Amino acid sequence: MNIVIDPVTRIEGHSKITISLDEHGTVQSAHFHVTQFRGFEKLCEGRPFYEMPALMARICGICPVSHLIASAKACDAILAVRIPETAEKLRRVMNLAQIVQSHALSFFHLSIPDFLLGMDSDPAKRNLFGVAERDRDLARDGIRMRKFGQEIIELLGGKRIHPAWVVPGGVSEPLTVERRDKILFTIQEAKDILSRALLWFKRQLSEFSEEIRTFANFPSHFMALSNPEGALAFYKGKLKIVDAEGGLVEEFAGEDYADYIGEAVEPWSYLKSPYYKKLGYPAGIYRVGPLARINMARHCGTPLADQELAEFRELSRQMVLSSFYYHYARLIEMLFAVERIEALLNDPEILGKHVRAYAGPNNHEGVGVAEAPRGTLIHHYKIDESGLIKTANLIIATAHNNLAMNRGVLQVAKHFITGPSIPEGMLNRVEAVIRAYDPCLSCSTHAAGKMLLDVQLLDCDGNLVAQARR
Amino acid sequence: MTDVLIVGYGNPLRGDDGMGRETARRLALQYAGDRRVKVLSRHQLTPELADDIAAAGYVIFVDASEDLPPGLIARESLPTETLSRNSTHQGNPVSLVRLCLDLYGKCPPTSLIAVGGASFEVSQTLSPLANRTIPQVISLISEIVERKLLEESVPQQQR
Repeated sequence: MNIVIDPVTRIEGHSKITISLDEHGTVQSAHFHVTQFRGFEKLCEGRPFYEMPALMARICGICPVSHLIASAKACDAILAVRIPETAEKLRRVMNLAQIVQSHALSFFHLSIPDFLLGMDSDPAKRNLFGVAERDRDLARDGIRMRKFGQEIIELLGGKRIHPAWVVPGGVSEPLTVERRDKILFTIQEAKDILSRALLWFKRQLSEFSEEIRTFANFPSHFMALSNPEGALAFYKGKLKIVDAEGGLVEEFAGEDYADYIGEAVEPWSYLKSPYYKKLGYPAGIYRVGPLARINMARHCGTPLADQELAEFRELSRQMVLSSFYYHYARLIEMLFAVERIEALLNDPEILGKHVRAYAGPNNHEGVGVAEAPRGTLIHHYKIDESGLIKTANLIIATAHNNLAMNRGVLQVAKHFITGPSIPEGMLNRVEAVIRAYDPCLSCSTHAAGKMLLDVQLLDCDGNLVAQARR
Repeated sequence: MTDVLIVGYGNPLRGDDGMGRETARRLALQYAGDRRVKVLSRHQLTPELADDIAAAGYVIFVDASEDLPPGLIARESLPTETLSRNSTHQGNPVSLVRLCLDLYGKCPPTSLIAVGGASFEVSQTLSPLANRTIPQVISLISEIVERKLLEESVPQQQR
C-alpha cells in the first residue's frame, strides 16, 4: 500500500511525499519527491556573465536576493576585483534583510499554524487566517516582521522582488541618509517582535516533545560559512563541515567546493542530493541552514542574539540534532539579522559614494558562496574568451538538505504512521518535518546534464510490464 | 494615515497582465510628493499588504482581467462582510480585505478596478489596446482620488 501526500502544503514550490507500507501497515520506505523542473543552468549558457545576477535572481520570488549575492560574488571573482567596503556592507544589509523576510514567512505564516492550533487541528484552519482568529497579535507580528525585511530590500534595491541593485563589482547605487534613517526607524519594533516571538515559541516547546524527539532527529554532519572569529556568518568566510559532536571535519575555500561536495541524482526527484565526498553517497549526509549555522557558531556577535544562543546551547552539550529546532534557530537568526543591520547602518561608511569596482573579465571561472535563508548557496560559472557563460553549476541550500529531508520523512513516517487507518494529523506531521527545513523548491531543481530517468509500464493491476532506465 | 491607497498588481512578463502595475507606475509619478496618496506596485498580493490597507482611509486595487472584454473597465466595491477565509499561495483583494478585518478589526472602503486585457501571453509589452485604455483607467482613478481627498478635507475644514 502506498500513501501519497500531494501536494505538500505550506512550503515554497511543488512536491509530494510517498510512503510505502507492507501488508501489516508498517512503513517500509518514504520519499520526498520534487516534481518541478526549471533548468536555469542550461538556459543561461551563452549569456554574458555580467547578466547573471539579474538572471539568477529570477530563479525565485522568495529568496532572489540570495541568488543576487552569490551570483554577484561569482562575477566579482571573474572580474578579479575587491569590491568597495561600502558596497560589501550594503550587500550584507540586503542579504540580512532577505534572511529576515524569508524566515518570517517560514516561521510566522507557514509553521505557526501547527504550533498555535496544533498538529491535529482542523486542516481548513491551519493557515494565516486560523492564526489571526486565534491570536491576532501573533499574526500581526508576523505580518510586520516580513514587511520589515521586504521594505529594506525595496529601499535599497528599488523593489521587493528581483531587485537588480547588486551587480558584479558592488552595487549600482549608494544609500541615502533618508533611506538609511527610514530603516533605522523600524529596528526597535522588529527587535520587540522577535523577543516576544522567541519567548512565545520557547513556551510552546514542551507541547512538542514527541515531535522534537522524532523530527529528523539523528546524528549528521553540518555545513556552513564560518568567519575567522567563529561568529555567525552569512556573507563571507570559509566553508566548514563539522560532525555530530561538533568536531571540525573539513575547512575549505568556497571555490574548492567540488573537491568536497558531490551531487547524486535519484530517479524519483528533480532535486539533486549533494553529499560529502569522503563519506560517499548516501553516507555523506549533512545539514545546512539555520540549525547548522547556529550549531556551528561560537557566538553570534550581537548582544540579544548571543543571549538567545546561550540559552539554545542549554539544549545540548554538543550539536542540537533534532530538525524541529530549525524553527528556534530561525528566530535567533532573525534577531541577529536585525541587530546586525542596525550596526551596519550606524557605521558612517555605509553612506559612502564609492560602491562599485569596474573591470573586464580577468578570470575564466568564478565561484560565489553565501548563506541563504535555507543554507549555503553556491554559484559556479565558467566563461569563454568573449565573456559568455560556458557552464554554470548551482548548488542550492535546499538541495544540501535533500538527504536529511528524506531521512526525516522516513523517521517521522515510521513513528507516527501505522495502518490501516491514518489520521490526518499524522500525515501533517510528515509534512511538518519538511516544513522545518523550509525548502524552496523552485530554487533547487537545477539539474545540469543528463537526468536519471526511470520509466515503468504497469498493467491495470499494478504489475510491472516493462521498464527503461537512462 | 494615508487617505487613499492604490495597489496596482499583476505580472509584467505576461503582456496585459502588467496593466495594473503600469497604471500604478504612472499614478506614482502623478502623486509623487503627495503624502495623502500612497501608490504600490506589486507582482502579487501578499499578506503584508493588510498592514497598509488597515492604515488607509480608502483603497483602490487595479488589476487586469481575462474575464472582461478587452478594453472594458469595471469598478466593483468589495464587500467587507460575509467574506470567506481564503488562504491561497496567491492572494486576491477579497482575501486581503478579510485578513485586514481579522488582524485589525477594521477595513476601509475598498474597490477593485478591473480592466479587460487583450493578450496574456509571455511578453514584456502591453497590447496597443491596453496602452490606449490605461489613460482612461488613470482618469477614473484620479476622479475617485480627488473625490475622496475632498471628502477627507471637508471634515477637517469644519473642525
